[in-house]
Amino acid sequence: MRGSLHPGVVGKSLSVKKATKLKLGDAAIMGPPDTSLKVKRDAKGKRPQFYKDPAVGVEGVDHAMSMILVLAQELLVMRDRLDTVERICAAKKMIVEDEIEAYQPDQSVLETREERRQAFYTRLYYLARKDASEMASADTQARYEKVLNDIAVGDV
Amino acid sequence: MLNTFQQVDHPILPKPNHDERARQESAKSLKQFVQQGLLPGLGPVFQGRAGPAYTKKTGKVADNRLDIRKAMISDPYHQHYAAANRIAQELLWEGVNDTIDRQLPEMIEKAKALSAAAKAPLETDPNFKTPRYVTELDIHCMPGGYAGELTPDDISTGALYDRGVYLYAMGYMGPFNDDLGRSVCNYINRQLGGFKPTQILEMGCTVGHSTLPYKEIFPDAQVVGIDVAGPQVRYAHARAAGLGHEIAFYQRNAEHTGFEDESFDLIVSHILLHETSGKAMPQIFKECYRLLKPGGYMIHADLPPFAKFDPFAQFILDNETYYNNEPFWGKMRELDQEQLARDAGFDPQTVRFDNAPMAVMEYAMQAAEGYSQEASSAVADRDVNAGEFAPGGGWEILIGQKGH
Repeated sequence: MRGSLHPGVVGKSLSVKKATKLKLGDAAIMGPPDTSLKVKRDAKGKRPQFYKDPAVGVEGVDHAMSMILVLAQELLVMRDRLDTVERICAAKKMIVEDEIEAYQPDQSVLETREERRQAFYTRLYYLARKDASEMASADTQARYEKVLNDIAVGDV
Repeated sequence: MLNTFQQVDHPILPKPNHDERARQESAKSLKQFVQQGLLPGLGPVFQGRAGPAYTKKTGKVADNRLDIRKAMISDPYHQHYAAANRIAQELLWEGVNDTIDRQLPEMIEKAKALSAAAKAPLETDPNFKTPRYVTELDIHCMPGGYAGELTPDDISTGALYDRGVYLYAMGYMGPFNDDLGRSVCNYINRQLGGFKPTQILEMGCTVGHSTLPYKEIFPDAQVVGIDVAGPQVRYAHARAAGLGHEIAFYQRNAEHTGFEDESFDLIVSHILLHETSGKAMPQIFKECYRLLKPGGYMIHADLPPFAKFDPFAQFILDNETYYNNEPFWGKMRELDQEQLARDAGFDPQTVRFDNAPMAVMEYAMQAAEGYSQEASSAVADRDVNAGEFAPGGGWEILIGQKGH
């Protein structure tokens, strides 16, 4: 399945080795070559680097860390909820696995789930939202410092 | 707008299990969020931070798409927007490939059986020379590209494209991904003075998702789809058969199709031209002219020229060139497409850009799964907004008629 990241490439390098270095009988040690069909997983074309400016890159990491922790939190919430469901089902002697695979959500379920996913992504990107709103309202560090000054010594 | 648009299953479509479907849905939701939640912040960020910083550094105002790009490229907000867009793109292919990897051998057998039972011809050529503009990069980051072939009967990249396009388009193209074709058919019926095509060619048909509406709406017409990618036309043929349509699919190059002069009275393409090249595109227009009967129409539904957008919108649109393996996306928008059509011989009086309104409301009327009235009309009626899928609720089409 996903164990070999580049099945095609691995297959090729194996066959080259067999032809040049390995002796008869080595195939038995290595097992038969994997001839099952596996789709390509990587798109050809250099992937752009999005966070390459070192100064800005550091700022990006602040955002990334906040997102990773929100994600971790959501995963734990989900795990607890699923655990609760499984325990309730087990207590009622219900085996739900096949029913989960066969389940077809109706329109209201589709909407509930999409609403939940959009709310989740919105929380995940709360710092980006804050960033854009600061830019839209010209809410700068300079304004922040001006407020400190105004409150300390101004007519506020 | 709450997007719950669902793709309709058909015999050859990959069948995700519960968790694969949830992953695919979450990639679609992420794309929707990038458009609705992150895209709108780019303007304020440029005005409030990136633009002034660029001016301070260079003494110039960033007033064209390339300078705006220079100003925005290292802004953290833009980095998040661009990175999230790219990651969503990668996740959607990854999610579909999980399903295909699990099902490919049985899918190939099913495609063969469906095609064998169909009367309409399927033609592929093992010695076909796929043009470099299709093979140099895996276009829109689709692993394997259009033409990647794992085995002689492979359909995997066709299956990947069919499900992937639904996710990429976030269902805006309808339960059968057919909105582009359907919208152009509606345009023909409503805007071309009673013109009824009888021999229709679609160039760059991929999986035939845009081809099928032509057969449905013009049932007496002969409909032919061509594409340079073997796995796409094989999948297209099986897909059409599975949906009960007799459509011929051939592996051919739109630059030189091999059909006789004046074989068709309507030639269409849907988001094909921007995936060709500066050399191929004029040749495709000439080939359309050669293949059309006098009075026949060529209609290409693709990207409008940059000139129709302000520089900041151009910059947003051009991100696809740099971040989504779309090498011709930006350059194509700089070309004078109307002049190319006139140069190919089309009647200058008839060559024009026009807008074909999206057919998405029709899906809501048919009560297709997930196509709520509210969400469908939100897509159909929205304003032009660069960076959204199908900005402005309609498809830009280039039309030319061959003189009588």
